[in-house]
Amino acid sequence: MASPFIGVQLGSHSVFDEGVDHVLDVLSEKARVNTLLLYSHAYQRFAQNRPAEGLADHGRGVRSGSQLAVGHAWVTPHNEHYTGTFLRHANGADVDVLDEVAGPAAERGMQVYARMLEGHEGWIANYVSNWPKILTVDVHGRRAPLPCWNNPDYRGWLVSTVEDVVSHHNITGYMYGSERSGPLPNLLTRGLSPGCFCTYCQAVGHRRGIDVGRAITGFTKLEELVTDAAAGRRPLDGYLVAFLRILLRYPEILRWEYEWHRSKEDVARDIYGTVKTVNPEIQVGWHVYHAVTWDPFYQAEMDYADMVSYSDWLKPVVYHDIAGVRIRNRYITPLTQSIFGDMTPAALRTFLFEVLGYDPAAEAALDDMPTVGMSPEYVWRQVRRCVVAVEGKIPVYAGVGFDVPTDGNPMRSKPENVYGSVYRSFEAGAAGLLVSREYDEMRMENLEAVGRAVDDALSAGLVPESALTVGR
Amino acid sequence: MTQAFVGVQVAGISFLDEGFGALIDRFVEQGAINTLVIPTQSFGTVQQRRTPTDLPWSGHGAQEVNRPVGGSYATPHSQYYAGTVLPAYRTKDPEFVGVDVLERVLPEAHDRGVKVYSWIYENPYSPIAAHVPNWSRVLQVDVFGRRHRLPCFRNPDYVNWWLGIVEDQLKSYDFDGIQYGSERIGPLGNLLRGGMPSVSTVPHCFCAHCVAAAEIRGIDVDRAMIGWTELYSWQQSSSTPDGERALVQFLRSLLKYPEILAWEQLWHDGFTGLQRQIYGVAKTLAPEKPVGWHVWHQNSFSMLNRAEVDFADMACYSDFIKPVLYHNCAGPRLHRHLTQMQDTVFRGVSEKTLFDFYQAALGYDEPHSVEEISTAGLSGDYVRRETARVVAAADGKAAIYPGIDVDIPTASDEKKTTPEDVRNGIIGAFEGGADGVILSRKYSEMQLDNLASAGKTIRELGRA
Repeated sequence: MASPFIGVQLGSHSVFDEGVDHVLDVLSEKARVNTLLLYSHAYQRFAQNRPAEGLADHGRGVRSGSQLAVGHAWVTPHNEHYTGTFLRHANGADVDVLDEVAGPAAERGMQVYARMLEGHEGWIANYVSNWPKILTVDVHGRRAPLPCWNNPDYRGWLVSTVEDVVSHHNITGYMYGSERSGPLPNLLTRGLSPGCFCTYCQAVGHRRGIDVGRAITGFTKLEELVTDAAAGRRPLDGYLVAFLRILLRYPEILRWEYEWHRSKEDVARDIYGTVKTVNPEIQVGWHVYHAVTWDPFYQAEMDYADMVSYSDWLKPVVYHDIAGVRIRNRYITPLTQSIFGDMTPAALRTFLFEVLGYDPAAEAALDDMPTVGMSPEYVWRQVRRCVVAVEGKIPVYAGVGFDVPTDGNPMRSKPENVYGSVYRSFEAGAAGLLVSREYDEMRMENLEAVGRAVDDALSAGLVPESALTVGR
Repeated sequence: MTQAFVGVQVAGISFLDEGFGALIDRFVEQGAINTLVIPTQSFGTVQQRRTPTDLPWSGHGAQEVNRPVGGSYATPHSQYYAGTVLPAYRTKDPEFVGVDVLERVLPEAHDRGVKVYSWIYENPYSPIAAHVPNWSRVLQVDVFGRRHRLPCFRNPDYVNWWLGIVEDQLKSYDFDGIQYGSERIGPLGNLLRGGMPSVSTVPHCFCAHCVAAAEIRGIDVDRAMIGWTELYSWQQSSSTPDGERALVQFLRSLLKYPEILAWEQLWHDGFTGLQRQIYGVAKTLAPEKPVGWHVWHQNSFSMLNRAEVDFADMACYSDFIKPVLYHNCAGPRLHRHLTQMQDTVFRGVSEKTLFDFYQAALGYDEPHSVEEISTAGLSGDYVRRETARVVAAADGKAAIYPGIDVDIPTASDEKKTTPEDVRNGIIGAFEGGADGVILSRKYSEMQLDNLASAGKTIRELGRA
């Protein structure tokens, strides 16, 4: 029977931890999962932030920490695809997870998608040879911890990786994601020195008509403002007015921020074209970073309507539970120590929520946000916004996440909110679901809640015939 | 305590109604006033007017309605108006036929030890184009290539006309100082509906002079025009409740086309450019005469305007600054500003939340709620905070004379001035470090008990 796309993000290690058949049966039976999204390459340390006792009620768990019990490359590399870049994948596993899963998935009528989340932490430099050569450069001329999208070796490595994976595996789809904010939000919320001002980025900026010198001067002045704010040195006209004044005098800041975003999306365009060239049938889509639900700058940059031209589908990340702690700790609180230094965190929360369309009265109060999270209405708002923007041209798969360890793990997900988030996603017009973040984190009662919500959404007629694409 | 600068804005019509000498005596005795700030060049419809008939009579002066068109209320001398297509233009207001306000006021004031400042007021909001020949030649141009209603600060004919006015007045009269004012904001503020209601929200100025200035700065003019057109479309569009939020769409335009901000700053630099030129001309001709600026009330409400008007920078071309701190009418005006922003960039944000946001960002701590500010006005503490902000920014390089609200008209259900309000405003100004005050916005509107409250307060503070 045809059903909507119900995907799950399945850490490749879980396949071997619990056994392929067991994992696939659990996911299918409890959560109606019909599509597996497996890391071909994993440059994250998600395992590191799991509490010692574990969150999930299944699996043997994976060792966390610096020993890196989980690998980075979960597919067999083919070196011929990597000419034109000096980077090579490190720490390959002995098995090819996509090959391992292909048979059991086919037996069950399940689709297999490969996925890669761009490594967004500095430690990768310790494991991938020559990585330091492709790092970004900050406004002071220093190398910074993350790679630069305009560096041809890094760009080539990403494209080579995709080409390698899609050329040697029989997969239905591919998902790529990058969880990085631009130099402006990173400066305002984390105090990070702005970048990237490497020679490649400067050349791109110059070619696009930006006065690079003025961009550097503007960012330098803005960094001074943020530094002063952190030290409690309030400008005479207030923090926000001082920020606006710098933007008026150095609008190149905004242009540099936007070009940073364009470079990020240029990578996605490269990947899209590469996959489609190798195999046009493969459905290519994007994991859209969680910050898209709380940072107005990031939301402005990630224009879903524009993304349609290089997407077969989209997965907006709408992890409702951990959105609470992330919005509070990663955005509201830091901003009140920065350009919103004249506001209290509670007042900024209300303002931000109203700007973004969240109901401040219905969502958790500031102090409760980490332990209560955001509501299913938050999920509805963000899925709906995406659905409206893409105008039916591509499907939207809601990235509903639960049991995600993050930021000190202040809460555990409740089945009723998982159910509500899934159901509201379909009410918002989602054509499918991408259960997130990682299977090994998810508890069974919440997977069962997903299954119930999917069943009820189908019974209620919330999923149109056109969205019943799997198993057709 | 030292004697403070105590000015009053008073138009020629009041002298005609109440007598030159008698009125100055009243100012000295009741208001402790030592300086008259007289609009001598004005195309605003407000400054020269008596109290409008739909408002309570102030209790002094004539009650008949006058309908000023404006122009010069002194006697212009045509030899100073070369290099401009605009002629010297003497007002044709019927009350001023044969009356040169400066000529009449100066001896009466100086005999009494009272100073006279000439207020030249740029506001071009009267039907001026119908009266001044060639006015259409100095107008701004909008993003669609059409002439805009207001003149361009970069148009050399317009600049030379104003420099001619300054030269003319300084060479023809022995007054004591100049106050210039212009209540205009740039294209972005207007697009966000923050400007005068009569001003089009279509982005401007794209005249040849501004385009040339942009090119010199390296601004991509084509991208700027595309960006402004996109932003204007956004402003004209209706909101989609389930779709993108207004602020996000606004930010998207700025991120894609930061030339919008570059153009806004370009406009503002043209705006202050005229002030800088006036300052230099005045200092060349009469270095001993103070030159200063009436800074529009927008600065109390608009974060954008506040970002543009940098008082620290202004101090280098100012002898004094008059920040408009009209605390009573600030209540309804701030409320209107919030409504305008709710209609544009902050669509979807509640009035209360926006008020709280503005209070924090602007550094206010008002005792009244947003529902109350239209009827309660803002407080003397607002005057104190704003004065202190400007004083600190000027850093002793320019004197600060806050404009104090005495009976500035508001709607019938909005805040009216009381003697206590006047007292609170003046105390706030001096507690904020002001070097003086200017009672505003014009004498013809002021109730005499409120004027007396000003004088009493100033004397009690030992600043008379």
